Amino acid sequence: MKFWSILFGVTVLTCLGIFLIAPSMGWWLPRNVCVYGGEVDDLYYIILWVTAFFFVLTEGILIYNMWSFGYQPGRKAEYAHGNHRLEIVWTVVPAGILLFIAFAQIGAWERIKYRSRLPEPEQIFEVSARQFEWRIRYPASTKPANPETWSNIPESDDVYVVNEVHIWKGGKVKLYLKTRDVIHSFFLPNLRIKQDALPGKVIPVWFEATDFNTKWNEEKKSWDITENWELACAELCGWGHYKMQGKLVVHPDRADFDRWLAQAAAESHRRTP
Amino acid sequence: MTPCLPRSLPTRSILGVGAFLSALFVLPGCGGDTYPEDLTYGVRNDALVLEVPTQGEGLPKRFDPPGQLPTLFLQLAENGGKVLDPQVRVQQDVIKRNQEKLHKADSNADKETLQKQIDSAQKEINNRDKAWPEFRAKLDKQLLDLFGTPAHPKVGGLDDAVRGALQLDDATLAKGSKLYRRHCLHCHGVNGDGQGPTAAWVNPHPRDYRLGRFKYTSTTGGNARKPRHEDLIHTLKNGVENTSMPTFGLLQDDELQALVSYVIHLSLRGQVEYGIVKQALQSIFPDGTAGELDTPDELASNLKDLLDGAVRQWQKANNEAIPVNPYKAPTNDDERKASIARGHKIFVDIGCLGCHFDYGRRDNFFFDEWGTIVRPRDLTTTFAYRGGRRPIDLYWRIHGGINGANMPAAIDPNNPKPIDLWDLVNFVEALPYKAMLPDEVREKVFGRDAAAAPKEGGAH
Repeated sequence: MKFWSILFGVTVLTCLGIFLIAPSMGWWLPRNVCVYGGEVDDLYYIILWVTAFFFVLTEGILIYNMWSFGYQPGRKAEYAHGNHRLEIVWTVVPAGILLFIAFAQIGAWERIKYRSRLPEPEQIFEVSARQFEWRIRYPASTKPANPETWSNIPESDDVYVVNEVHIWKGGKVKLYLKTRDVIHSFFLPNLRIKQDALPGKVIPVWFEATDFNTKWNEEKKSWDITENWELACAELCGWGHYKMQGKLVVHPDRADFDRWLAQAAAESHRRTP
Repeated sequence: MTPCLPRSLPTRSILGVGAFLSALFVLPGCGGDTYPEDLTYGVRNDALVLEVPTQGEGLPKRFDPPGQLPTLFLQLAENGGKVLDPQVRVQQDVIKRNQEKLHKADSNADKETLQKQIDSAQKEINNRDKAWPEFRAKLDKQLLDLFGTPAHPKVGGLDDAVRGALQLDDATLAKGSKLYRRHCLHCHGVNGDGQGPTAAWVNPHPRDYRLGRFKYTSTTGGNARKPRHEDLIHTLKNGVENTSMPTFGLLQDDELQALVSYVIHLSLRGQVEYGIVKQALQSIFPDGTAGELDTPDELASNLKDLLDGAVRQWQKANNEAIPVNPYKAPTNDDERKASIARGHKIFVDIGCLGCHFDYGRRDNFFFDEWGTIVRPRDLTTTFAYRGGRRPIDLYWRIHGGINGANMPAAIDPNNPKPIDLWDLVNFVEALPYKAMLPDEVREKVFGRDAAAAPKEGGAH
C-alpha cells in the first residue's frame, strides 16, 4: 500500500516547490527599511534553514518508512521496544539547536528590546490600541521635555491621528505602546518590529527607518504614497481583528515630517467649519 | 491493531484528494463581493420604539448586558415606554403574565380586569394575523420598486438634479452597496437596522439608520435635521472614538463617498418604511389613532410623500450649516484662563451639570430615541468625544446637541443667547487638563485639594 507515502511525498515536494518560487513571485518578506532589520532577517533565515533541513529530513524518514514498511499481505509486524542511543540523539540534537538559537539571538534581542539599550530618541509618540483601531497621539513638539511624564499625562496641544504612523527617514523613534482593552500586537512588517500591547502596561518600542515612502506633491498640496507600508495587529484580538490595519508613512526628512505635523496639528485643533 | 481507515484504494484516494481539495477551497475563503440576486431588504418586522421611559423607575440603571439587544426594545413596553411590535411579542407577554395572575387573583373585580386585558391583547393579535401579512406583502412590492435590492439599489422617483446633488445615482449606490457588504453590514445589518450579527455584542449598539436620525451633524434644523456629506465622511474617516465604530481611513475618497450615498439610500428607505409601518401598526393596534389600512394607491402616494419629505431634509442639510462665530484666539495666558472661566460659568448656568453629573464622572443613564441606552460622557477624560475631538466638533456638538440622544442644543438659532460658545468650548477642551484650568475653576471641578497636575486619561 504505497498510497499514503506518495500523498505525503507529493505534499512535501509541493511545499518545497512553492517555497523555492515564492521570492520570485513576490510572496516573500516585505522590503526591510529598518536599521536593525538585517539582524532580524538573519535570525529568521538561520531558523528557517535549520527547520527546513530538519523538516525535509524527518519527512524523508517518514515517507521512506511508509513506503517500505506499509501493510503487505503475509508480512508479520515486528515490535521494537525503544532504543536508548536513538532517544539520546533526538533529545540532544534539538536541545543543542535550541541553545544555539538562544545564544544567536541575544545580540538582536539586546539591541531591539532592552530598555537600557534604547537609543536617545528624536521623536516620541503614543500608540493606544483598542478594538479595533490604533489611536495615535503625537506631541506638538516632536519630542516633549519630559517624555515619561508626557506618555502618562496627555497635554492639551497633543495631535491625535487614527491608524497612521508618521516618522521620518533616519529619525530615531521611541513610541509608548498601550492598549485600552485586550492584548493587541503592534506590527510594522517593513520595520521588522512586532510588540504585544498588554493591558495596564506602557511598553517602549524603538526603530529607525532607512528609507521613505512618501513625497510632497506641490501641485496637489498633499503627500503621495510611493509604496504601501502596512501597520497591522498581529494578535487575534476579537472579531474585528482584521480591521486593525493602518499605514506607516515615512517622510524623507525631518522638515517634511514637521510640515505634516503642523498640518495635522492644525486639523486637530481646527476652529473653522 | 485494527486499522480504522477504509482499506480499499478508491475510498482512500477519495479521502486524500478530498482533504487536498477542501484545503484548496478553504484557503482563499468564500470570495466574491456581491449579494445573492434574490436577496431583498424585506419589510421590517421588528419592534418600533415610539416612546421611551424618560423618568423615574423606567430609566435604565446600567448598560444592557451583551447579546440582548432585541429584548431591550421589548422591555421598554413594560417600563412605561411605547412599542409597536408586529410580531406581537408584547401582547403575548401580556396574555402570559395575566393568565398566571388570573389563577392567583382573589376578587372577581381583579379577575375581570385581567380577563379584559387578555381579551384586548388577543384581539390585537387577531387583528395582526388578519391584516399585517397581507399589508406587508403589498408594501414589500412597492418598496422594492422604489428602492431596489441590495444587489441593485436605487432611489426611484427623484429628479435628476436632486439625484445628482445627493449622489444617489445607481452606479454610486451599487458601488457603495458592495463596500457596505464588506465593511459595515455585519454590524449595521443588510437594511441598516443596526442589528447585524455582531450588533448585540457591542455597546453602544450600531446606529439604526431607519429612523433617519444621525447624531453627529454640523447642521441646524431640530430633530429632522440631516448631516452633511462631510459629516458622514468625517465619521467614516475618524471612527467614533471609544465605540466599536472604527476608522475607515484606508478607503479611497471615492469609496467613502459611495458608502455615504448608500447609507443615505438605506436611511431614506428606512425612514419611508418607518412612516408607513408605524401608521399601519397604529391602525392594527388601535391606540387612539386607529384607522383603515392604505389601499395600494394610497400607499404609493404616501410613500412618495414620505420620500419627498425625507429627500428635502437631506437637501436642506447642505444649506443649514451651524453658524460658527469667528474665533478670537487669546493672546496670552490670562486671556485664555478668563475665557475658560467664562466657559465654566456658561457650563453651569445653562445646566450642563443636570445631565453630566459631576462633569460626567457620575453615572446617569437614559434611553435615546432608538431605545438603546446612553450615558452623558465623562468630560474629565481625554477621550470623551465621540463625534470628533476638534474644537470645531465640540462647537457643533454643543451648539446643535446630539440628535436623538437627549443632548439638547445649547443655542436656538432663531433666538441666540448672548454667549460666546468658544468660551464653553475652551472650558470643555481644558477640562481634562488640570493645569489648564484657572485656580478657582479647578477648585470647583476637582476639589480644594486638587493639585495643578493634569488628570491622566483614565480607562474607558
